[in-house]
Amino acid sequence: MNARLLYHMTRADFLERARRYSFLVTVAGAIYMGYLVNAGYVNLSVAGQRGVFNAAWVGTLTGMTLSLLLPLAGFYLVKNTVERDRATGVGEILAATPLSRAAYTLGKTASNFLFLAVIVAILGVAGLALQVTSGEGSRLDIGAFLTPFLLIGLPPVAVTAALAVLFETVRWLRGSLGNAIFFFLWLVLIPIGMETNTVDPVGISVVESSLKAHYAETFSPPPGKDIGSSFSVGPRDNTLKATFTWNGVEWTGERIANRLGYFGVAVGLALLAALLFGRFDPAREGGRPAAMKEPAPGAAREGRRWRLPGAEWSPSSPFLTLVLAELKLMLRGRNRWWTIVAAGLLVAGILTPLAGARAFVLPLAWIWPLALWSGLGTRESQFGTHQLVFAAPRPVAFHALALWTSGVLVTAAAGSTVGLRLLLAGDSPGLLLWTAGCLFIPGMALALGTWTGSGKAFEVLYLLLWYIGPMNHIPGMDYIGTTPEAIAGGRPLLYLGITAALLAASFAGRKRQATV
Amino acid sequence: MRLIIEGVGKTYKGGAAALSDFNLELGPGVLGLLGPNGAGKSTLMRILATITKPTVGRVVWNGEDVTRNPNPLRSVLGYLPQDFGVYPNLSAVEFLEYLAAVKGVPAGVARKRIGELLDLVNLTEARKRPLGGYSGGMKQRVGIAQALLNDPRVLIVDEPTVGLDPEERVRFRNLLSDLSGERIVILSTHIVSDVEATATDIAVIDHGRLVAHASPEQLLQSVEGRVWEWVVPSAELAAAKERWLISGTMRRGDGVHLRAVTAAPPDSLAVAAQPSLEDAYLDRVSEARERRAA
Repeated sequence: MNARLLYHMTRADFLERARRYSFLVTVAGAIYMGYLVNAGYVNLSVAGQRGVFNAAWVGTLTGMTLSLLLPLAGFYLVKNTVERDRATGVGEILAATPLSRAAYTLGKTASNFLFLAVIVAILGVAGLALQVTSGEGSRLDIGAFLTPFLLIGLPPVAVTAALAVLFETVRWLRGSLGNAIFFFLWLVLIPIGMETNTVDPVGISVVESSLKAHYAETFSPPPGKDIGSSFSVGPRDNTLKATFTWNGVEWTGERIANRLGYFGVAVGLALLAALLFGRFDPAREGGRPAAMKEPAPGAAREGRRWRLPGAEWSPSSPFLTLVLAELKLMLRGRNRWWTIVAAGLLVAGILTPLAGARAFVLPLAWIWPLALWSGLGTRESQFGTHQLVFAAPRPVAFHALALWTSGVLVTAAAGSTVGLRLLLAGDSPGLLLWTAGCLFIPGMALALGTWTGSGKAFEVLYLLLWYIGPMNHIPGMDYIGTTPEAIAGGRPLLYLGITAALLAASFAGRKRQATV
Repeated sequence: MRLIIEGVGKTYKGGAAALSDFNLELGPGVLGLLGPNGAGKSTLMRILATITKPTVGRVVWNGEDVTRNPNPLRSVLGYLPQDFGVYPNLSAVEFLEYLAAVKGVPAGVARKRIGELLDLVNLTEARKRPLGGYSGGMKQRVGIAQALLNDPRVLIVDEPTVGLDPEERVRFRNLLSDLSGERIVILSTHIVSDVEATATDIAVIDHGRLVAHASPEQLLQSVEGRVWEWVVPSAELAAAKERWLISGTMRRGDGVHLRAVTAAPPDSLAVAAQPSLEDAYLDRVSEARERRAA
């Protein structure tokens, strides 16, 4: 592959991204993450004790936090480079050049990697500054601080960069389904990585084994005693005491090779993407129906002039008509399997005992329409129909309300059997939270859609909320009410209040969209 | 039925002025809006279509300030933007049904009208096919159909004939002429022949300013006796272009046949020619530029 070509592809893509406002927000987020690590909101411990906050400890903590969280957020940040080429038409220009498919996907992977690596670098510099000002260690060891960034933080970033390109080249992975699949893939990889050091892109097992060995060497615990270790991101754990000084992972040849191997995996994924990449040819890429022949000019209508038929009606804006039109647009394009699964979830809502239906069926029923909700408020910018829609009467609050209503109807329909059973069981608090959920989910989708112009922010945040709240039954974030604790304490009212705020934000976002 | 543009100006972020102190009063008929690329035509179209708000000035529709309350105009507006997208998985019928709902056209009326409009734009055969497979010209015709969905009193069309084949183009011009009796039609284009065929009034815009507003006859009269044709050797073409406002060139066996707009005959052998709108348009734009340079 031509190095100059790779350089220019990467550069152009990087500049395009780095000049966006969202880049600044990402950088601010990265710096804040560095602060959280130094402030003790990321806990790493072995046998209930932590090491001194020296350069190696903080560098490793930051590297692990990066490798755990950056791929998750970074995937959604960079998974748009091929789509941008497709949407802007630049792709067709590139396709008409001698650029090979492998060069394209490798170039795009490199550009994704560079973008994420810059975030790693910024965090590295910020982390060093924080370490100098607030570290517990006696001296600043730049090598010990930065090595975990390079060997723990960067390999999963490379894999993420390539996966983003791969997902963009496979038609059915481009949209919401791909976004959800990556989310679950990453969640599954973390525990796998903890159990095995062969498939561990996050790098937890490398640190864990080194820490345990160091602990055993320092404290000589009785033979056979299990030395537990933990790594968590969350509230500061003040009970952890610094009882030992750890100078970082001993980077043996085998460990380095294992970590660098993920760069090889990234290259492999990029080459796989090249095999699947349709080179912007609609006939090969799918997703867009093949071009059809123009009807014969004036066929059977020879010599006929265009005459506009008069329409007799007085202008009206029936809300219901608009809601139904939005609903039709939302449901359009779902394949048979999508409908079969949705119907299956409805049946499961009837057949499963009520407690199980609430705890397991309803969460599934309210994740399945993810792609439908994520289109709310984003279609005009996604498909370029902005000028057609916003020149119509009452495009702001009236239309936003119709969009939200169509989303509420979809949500209610998806969870209808469980809702009906709550009603029949006379479970008023449960039904109230079910209703709040119906109103809240499309409200969140619409607000994020109108403000970001894309469904991605909703998909990521909703998946996170759904995973933390209903799936892990965390009461404060369980908007579905999977457990009795979630329903208590006026939570339905809380979600109704949040929904009202989201609707207000949606109206403001819609107004912003309508005003150029 | 009056649409009044009062002192409208638009300055984009970064200070680029797209329109300055633009004034125009429109009644029923076809207004042809002519101007070079980047003159501000599309900005004006978007302001009139209530998509963009002017930085200064106002647009008044039948006494109502559209910049404050756009809905009275929106409910009688048909707008065909220069660039627009479609939902690729919808058929033409489904897409038009959706936009009819957005425009507030009752479902029953919309169904009948969509059939008529698709027939009008010659897309009846393709009406059930996904729009993603349509050619550029076919998408443009869907755009024309959607602009007419609500039987608009004000029809704003920005470069409507782009992508249409010659036959469709002629038919679309005829449609605009038919519509003009009872509506305000604003046709923005850089194709002078489209304006020549349809416009009852012409506005010439350059660098965001209105440089002429007149009937086609008045514009033609303004260059009467100032259009000349003559022949020069190929080698003298560049010099001629430097010296005169050339409105046409054609290579022939005896040299290059030139057409220019200038008060005095450019050559002893030059003959006076019948002026065209293109001559008048170039003359106005050139005059405005000279004034600005001075």
